Amino acid sequence: MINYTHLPFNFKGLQDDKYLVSNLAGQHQHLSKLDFDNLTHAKYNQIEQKSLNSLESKHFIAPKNEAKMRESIIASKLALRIQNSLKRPTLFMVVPTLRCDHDCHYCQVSRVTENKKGYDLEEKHIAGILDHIEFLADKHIKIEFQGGEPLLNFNFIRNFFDTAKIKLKGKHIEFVIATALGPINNEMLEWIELNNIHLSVSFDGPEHIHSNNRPSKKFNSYENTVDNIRLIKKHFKGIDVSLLSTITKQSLQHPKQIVDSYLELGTKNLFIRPLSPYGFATDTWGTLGYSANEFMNFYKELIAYIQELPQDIIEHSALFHLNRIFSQATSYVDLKSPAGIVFGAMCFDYNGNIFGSDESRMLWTSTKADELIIGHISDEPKNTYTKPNLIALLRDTFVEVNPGCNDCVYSQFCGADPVHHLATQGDLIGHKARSFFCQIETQMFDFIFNEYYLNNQMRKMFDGWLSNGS
Amino acid sequence: MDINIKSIKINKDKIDEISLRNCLYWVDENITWELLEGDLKWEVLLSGSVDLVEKETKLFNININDNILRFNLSRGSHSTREQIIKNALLKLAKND
Repeated sequence: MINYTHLPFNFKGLQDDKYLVSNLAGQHQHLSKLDFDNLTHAKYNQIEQKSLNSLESKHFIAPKNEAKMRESIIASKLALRIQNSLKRPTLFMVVPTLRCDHDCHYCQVSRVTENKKGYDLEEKHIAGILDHIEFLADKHIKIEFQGGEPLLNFNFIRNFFDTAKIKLKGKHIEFVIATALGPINNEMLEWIELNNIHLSVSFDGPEHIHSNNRPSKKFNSYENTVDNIRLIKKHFKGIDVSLLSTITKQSLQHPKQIVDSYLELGTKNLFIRPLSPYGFATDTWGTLGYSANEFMNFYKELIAYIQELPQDIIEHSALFHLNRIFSQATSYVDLKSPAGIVFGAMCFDYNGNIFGSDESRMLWTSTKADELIIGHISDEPKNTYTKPNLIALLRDTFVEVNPGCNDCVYSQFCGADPVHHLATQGDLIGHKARSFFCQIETQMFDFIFNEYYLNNQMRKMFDGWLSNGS
Repeated sequence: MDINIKSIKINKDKIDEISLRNCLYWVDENITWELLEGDLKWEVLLSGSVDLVEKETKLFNININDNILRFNLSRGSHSTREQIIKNALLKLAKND
């Protein structure tokens, strides 16, 4: 009989008297209460054989004479996980303008009106931005034009694209325009299709929600968005359009209608995200905001509805979490430890400021907290990314040792999101018991683990997403 | 508003102060708490509105049981979690 000992792990009780254990190697195991009790009371040889084998192979337990060696393996696996989080950024966001033709109540970037002067990124800065991207980027990158409404400065986008193709020759670049489709026209669409540029479109669901969340003085925003999506799908089939929904209090009662509205547009890929506390959303939280419980009740109903439908629909927020759990992917900036500031994404704002994330830009726009600015487009790239304020932003974002996170069973899969905590609590770590981010993520992981291990139909769907949707 | 005060006593050999404070970290911000140290027992006083104290006492008791278990496991671990993290960072530094 093998004389086992246990290695450090975190744990949590889940539904149906089950337990989840996880460790610094990024592994997890779902256990019956009996097996969990046997594990925690050192009755290792009474653990069910399959679980015992799994616990040993995942470094939760080890033969006593191998414990030191296993600890070294866990440390190596943790070092590898940290190293993967510290890779060069792959997402570069460029803000051609802060002007917008929508008046979204929850606008997170504090946009300005369509004709306001002084809020466009000047074309003279294109070379400087590309110098920074060239300095930082690996071979495969994504450049995303954000706003305001980026199409209101379409000439900038075209010139940027043409210059980037020359300057960054040899890199594989995916270009994306994040838009609400207000100013789109056939000439733009022909160029977008010709150059294989993706569109990421804000779409909040049925008319009474979308038009209420995202009103425009110029047009019926729902009709404008839906008509343009239909036009693209009919006449510009080469354009890849993805949709993104921000959930407000008004959305909470309508999860099924939101899914149906995607299907009516022939789209089977949903991306559902909660409201973020930046920009105008900080002022409108009282009318548009909600608790983490309210959001998760909505979200669970939405996922259950997707599972009932005959179509193969994917919800990408859940898929990001599944990828983080099962393949330790680090592509989703919110779920990175250390945080994804610079190491996940970069943002070049309309005024030339450089930020380590879109959220930093959002927070700066409403607070003018200059410590969030990493540098300026005109700065020399080699002198920009070692500044003390960047180090200060990243220093405390290793969740495995953060208070409130260090003994959390989900810390291996979660992220730090320092900018969220700076925005809501005034410090980069934040008190997790009062953190909306922590409440949402904890409930999200609870939901995914419970469904994956206790609901065969849901597990089948999640496995399908992991196989086909990542 | 009616204020309620609940006293929870725990043997000192069952849990250390750090683990106990880990439980108090999660107590609702509208609850006032006090941690008292006796010779043999810790005493936690939770005070606030009647309903909230009831709710938080239940959650605190669940949390305490988990943290007693964590405390026992950490005593039994071959090495601490912190040591593994430190070793991982040292490995990273060497690679750099």
